[in-house]
Amino acid sequence: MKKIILIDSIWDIRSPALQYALTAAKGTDTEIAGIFLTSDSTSKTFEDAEATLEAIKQEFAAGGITFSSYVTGPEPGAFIRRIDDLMPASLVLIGEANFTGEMKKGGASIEALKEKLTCPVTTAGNLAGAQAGKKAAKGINWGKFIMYAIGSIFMYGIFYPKIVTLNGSLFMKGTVLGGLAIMAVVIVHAWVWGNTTYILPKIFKLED
Amino acid sequence: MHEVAAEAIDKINVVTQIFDANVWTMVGVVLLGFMGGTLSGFIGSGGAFLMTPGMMNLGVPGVMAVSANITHKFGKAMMGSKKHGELGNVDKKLAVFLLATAAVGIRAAVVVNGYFFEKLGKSGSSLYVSLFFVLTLSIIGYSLLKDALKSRKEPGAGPSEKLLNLSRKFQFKPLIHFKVANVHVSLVVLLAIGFCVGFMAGTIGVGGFIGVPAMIYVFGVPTVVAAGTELFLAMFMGAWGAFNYGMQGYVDLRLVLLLYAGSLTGIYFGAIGTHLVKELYIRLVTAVLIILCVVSRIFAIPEYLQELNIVEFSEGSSVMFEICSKIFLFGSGIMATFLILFWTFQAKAKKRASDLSFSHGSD
Repeated sequence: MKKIILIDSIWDIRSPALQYALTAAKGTDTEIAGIFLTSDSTSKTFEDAEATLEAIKQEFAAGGITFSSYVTGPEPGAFIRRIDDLMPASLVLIGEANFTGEMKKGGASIEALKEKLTCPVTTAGNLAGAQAGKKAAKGINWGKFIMYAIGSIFMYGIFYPKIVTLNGSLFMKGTVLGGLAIMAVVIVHAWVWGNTTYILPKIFKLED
Repeated sequence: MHEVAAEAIDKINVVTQIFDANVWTMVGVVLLGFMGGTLSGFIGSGGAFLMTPGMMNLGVPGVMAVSANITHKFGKAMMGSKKHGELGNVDKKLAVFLLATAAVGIRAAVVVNGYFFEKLGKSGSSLYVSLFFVLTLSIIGYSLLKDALKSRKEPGAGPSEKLLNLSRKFQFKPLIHFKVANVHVSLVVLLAIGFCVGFMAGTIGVGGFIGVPAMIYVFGVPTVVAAGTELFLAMFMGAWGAFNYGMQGYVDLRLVLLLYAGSLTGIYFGAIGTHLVKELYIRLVTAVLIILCVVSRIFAIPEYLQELNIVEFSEGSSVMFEICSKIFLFGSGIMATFLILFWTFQAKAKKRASDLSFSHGSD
């Protein structure tokens, strides 16, 4: 069975992080373990949170999802111990978690978790961004690519061999005009070649 | 006058001579560009610490290696600024203040570099650049490694506040407030740091390695704003450096275009890697690589000293120094690039497998 550890300060079934975890867990033999951070450690806050989370647990159980929840105050030691107890997991998903300055100093922050844990650590914000990016991604624009590729062939095939001659008459003459000409070539070349190679990560399936 | 003309001809022919002597040198420059680009995309800035000494290892005089690198940096930063503009993590006011003296620093570096080339020739220029490289980057490499090891032991540890506390003692008036970074910085300190950043960028092509730490540790600027401001600054500093070196006739565009052939290919892979690979690995790779590049330069120095008739070695020793220098630089560069690409592709494959299994279940 896979496990998603969810870290959030919102005790609501409509919270984005909880919704992402729910979508990911549905029908995949995945359990959700939620660590809910409170802003104080009073028994009333804990009781309120636990009551809300119990209701969520019942709702999840009705949908066939195993959900366990742990309420933790703003103490870094307790939080880290809880994470350690729940590991290993397939994913750590962070919602609107309020990591206080003291918690960050004690190693309870998104950056520290990314470094400490062996599984992927991501935030609900990142997932939302990735989803928006996927929607916006248009794939490879072959028309643009061909245009820039032709420009690159010109730069390397025709212009490059001419540099030797142009060095003596312009580029390396040591004049203001030479300096400006160099800058102009660099701007054009970086733009043309940079836009040609921009496609490579897509070809290698590193980007959608 | 006659000497100046002869010098100009030499500058123009030096790269032709290197390429004619060994055609594979061109492939070497492209490879350096690819390694530098991948690293640059991966660590956010830099790559010059590999490309400048790498070109010198291939026989390019120090001043021309630096000028090719700074010119290349200008175009690369321009492409990067497209993305960077969307992020909005730039304190433009801070960048303008730093740029004011960084421009003076670059100009001073161009004059000093040019002086060594004209007075002591190719070896003198390479020796000066190498010594400067070893002195500054050994300190930077050591600090970065210490920082990375510290964050491995104490995950999430913030930047050290020692330098910040020290700089507070030198808060000479007037103090200037920077809104985006939300800091007050002494004008004197600001201008001094700007000059140092510019001088270093102009001398070895590596400015970001002191610009970013200075903004974080000395000014107290948040890391994300420091990185964004540095990128913004790099574009103008690169442009000014390219123009100044170009005006002195030290920029051979063949080197610049060959560097681009590799760098603008590698930079995208490196940039994707930053989203997929753990930050600790990024910091460790950077620190270890800088230290290995410094070791490579240390092995290159005896050859320049011999060419200047300062010391004398047997032919066997010279060959050994040269081979060691190349092995350390190209070996470490190839290894680091391979690791970055391997981690990136591996992480992507894992992510894809995990996305697939989750999305399969959610259908």
